[in-house]
Formats: sequence, structure tokens, C-alpha cells
Amino acid sequence: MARLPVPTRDDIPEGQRETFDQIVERMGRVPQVGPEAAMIYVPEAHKWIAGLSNYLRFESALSMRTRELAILVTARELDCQHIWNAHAPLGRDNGVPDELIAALRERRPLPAMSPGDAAVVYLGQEFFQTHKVSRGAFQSALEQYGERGAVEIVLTMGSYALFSFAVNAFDTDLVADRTEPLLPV
Amino acid sequence: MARLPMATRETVPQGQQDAFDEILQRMGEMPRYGPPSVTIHVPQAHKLTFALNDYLRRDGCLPFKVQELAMLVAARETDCQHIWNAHAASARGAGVADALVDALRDKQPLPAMAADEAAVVYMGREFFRTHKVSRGAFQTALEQFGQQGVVELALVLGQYSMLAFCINTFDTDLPPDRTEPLLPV
Repeated sequence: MARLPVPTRDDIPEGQRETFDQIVERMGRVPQVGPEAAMIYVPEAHKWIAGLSNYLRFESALSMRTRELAILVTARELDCQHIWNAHAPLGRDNGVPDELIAALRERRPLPAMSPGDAAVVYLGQEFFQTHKVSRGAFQSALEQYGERGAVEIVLTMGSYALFSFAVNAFDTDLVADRTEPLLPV
Repeated sequence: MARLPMATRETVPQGQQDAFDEILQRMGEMPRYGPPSVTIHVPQAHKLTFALNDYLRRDGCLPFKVQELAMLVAARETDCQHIWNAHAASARGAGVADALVDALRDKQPLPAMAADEAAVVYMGREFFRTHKVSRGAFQTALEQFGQQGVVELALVLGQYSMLAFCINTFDTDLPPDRTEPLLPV
């Protein structure tokens, strides 16, 4: 069981219940798993985070491959099982090589990467591991993706760090139909 | 110099000029420092990011003191000078003891803390350092802040780690009128 129960409308702060209804209607039910299962307790915050996530997914300059790889790096660095399981298949479907996904998951030496993939992986690993980004990693991201793309990659990783925080702090349940091997932690 | 030049109306993505104008009008001038100086390059994402901030700061249920302390913990754990400098003084003003602010900054043993302060510090440190939150730290935060409050606390910590990612990746300049000692890193 996750650390917070699935909320009912009465558990939601007054003044946010209409937003709760809208989210539940859009999602089909009260979210039971993942970051949404925690964030639904604060529908007004949920709404803005989902808005940023949708922007980054549907309107940013990032390809799905770049976006999904950025999400996988974040999930691995923050040991977030839910996000890893949700996005490893999307990464594969969008062209992230299988062997790169497996090496990230298992923390094995990484295979040769395309310059675009390498820029994402190094930027994320450096920030999460050292809290800074070297000139080389920054420059690679800038040259591969431009100013807009570099900012959007950072926001993608940052928003998934926030989601990882929500998943791990509230120890939300994994989906019953998990398809991916667990992250070794 | 920061790693990105200042954005202009001409450099932001097509279709986001109106959002750029709106942000500029609201802020009164081009943001030169900190996260807005990065996110302004992608005005749509900027608006969504700061809408979440505005919710958490103005409409959320956490007392100002708790918010400010959470920001300091996120800044210290991610080595973010800008956020530290921007919030150390306001945290002191909101009632976080000088001795606690200074001990966090210098990574010294922490003084005795009030129960709400301890809940924030332990939840943040555990997540950033181990990527999980123990039952004890979770339960303390839940008892101090309630269900809505503990979710908002996770969101403040997550949001400020995203902002720290923006700052540290793009190495934004510190404001010239800095008032706080630097974080030893």
C-alpha cells in the first residue's frame, strides 16, 4: 500500500474540488499509482505541473527520443521504479537503443552513443551526481539542441525529478501490469 | 557571465512572443538572474513553472517559514548559490533560527529544532541523499503538516530542485547585491 490512501473528493481542500473533478474526468478515475496519486491531493498544483509536462511533451522542440531518454536518466539517477517502468518501453519505441537502456538500468559501462543521446545522458548524470554541469556537457547539449532545446531538456529532467520525489516520498504502488525489470538499487 | 545570453523577443520560439511580452510586463524588466533568466528562453514553459511556484507560495497551506526552510534545504543539498542567497534572509525573517540557517549552510551539526523544522530538514535530506524517505521522516511530516501539507512539501522540495537544475546548468550570475555568505561547496 502506498503511504497515502486514494483520496475522495472530501479529502481535497475546499476550493480545489472542481479542479479535482476535472482531473478525475480527464484521467477516467482518481489516479491510483505514480506521482499523480500523490499530487491529486493538491489539484491546483497538479494542474500546473501537468501543464508543464504536457507542454514539454507536445509543444517543445524536443523529439520524443530525446525527451524519453532525459526521463530515463532522471529515473535511474533518482532510483524511481515507477517512472522507469513507465518510460523504458516509450524510450525503446522512440528509438533509444535497447542496449543503452539496459546499461543505464544496470549501471554498466554505456555503449557507444549518438552525439544527441550522449549530450542528454552526460548532462543529467553530471547534475544529479555532482550538482553542476561541466563546460563540455553544457556545450554538447547546446550544440545538439540549441538554447531552447537545452532549456527544455533541463526542465524535463527537473520536472521528472519533482515527479520522482512525489513517487518515492509517498512510496506509491507500482502498476500491477509492470513490464520492465526493476532498477537494481 | 552566465552561459546563455539574455533572451530577446526575437530569440524566443515562434508562437511564444505573446507569452514573452506578458512575462516581461509582469516582471517589469528582463530577468537577469536566477531561474527566470533561464526559463524566459521558453516563455510557455516559464509561465507554467512559475504558476506552480505562485500556487505553492501564495495559495498553498504551508506556513511561510516551512516553505522557506524547504527551499534552503533544497538549495543546500543541490549546491545552489542563487536560491540560497535569495532565501536565507527571508527564512530568517520568517522565523527560522539563525543557528539553523548557519549550520545548514556550513554543513555543521544541526542545533535543536522545532518539530516542524525537523520534519522539513529530514524529509528533504533523506530524499536528496538516498532518493527515498524513511517511514519515520514521512510520518513526522504527515503529522506536522497533514496530507495536503506533506504533498505540498514534497512539491516545494521538488520544484526548487528543478529551479536549482536550471541555475546550475546555465551557471546564472549571482545578483550584485548579494547579502549572504556563499555556500561552502
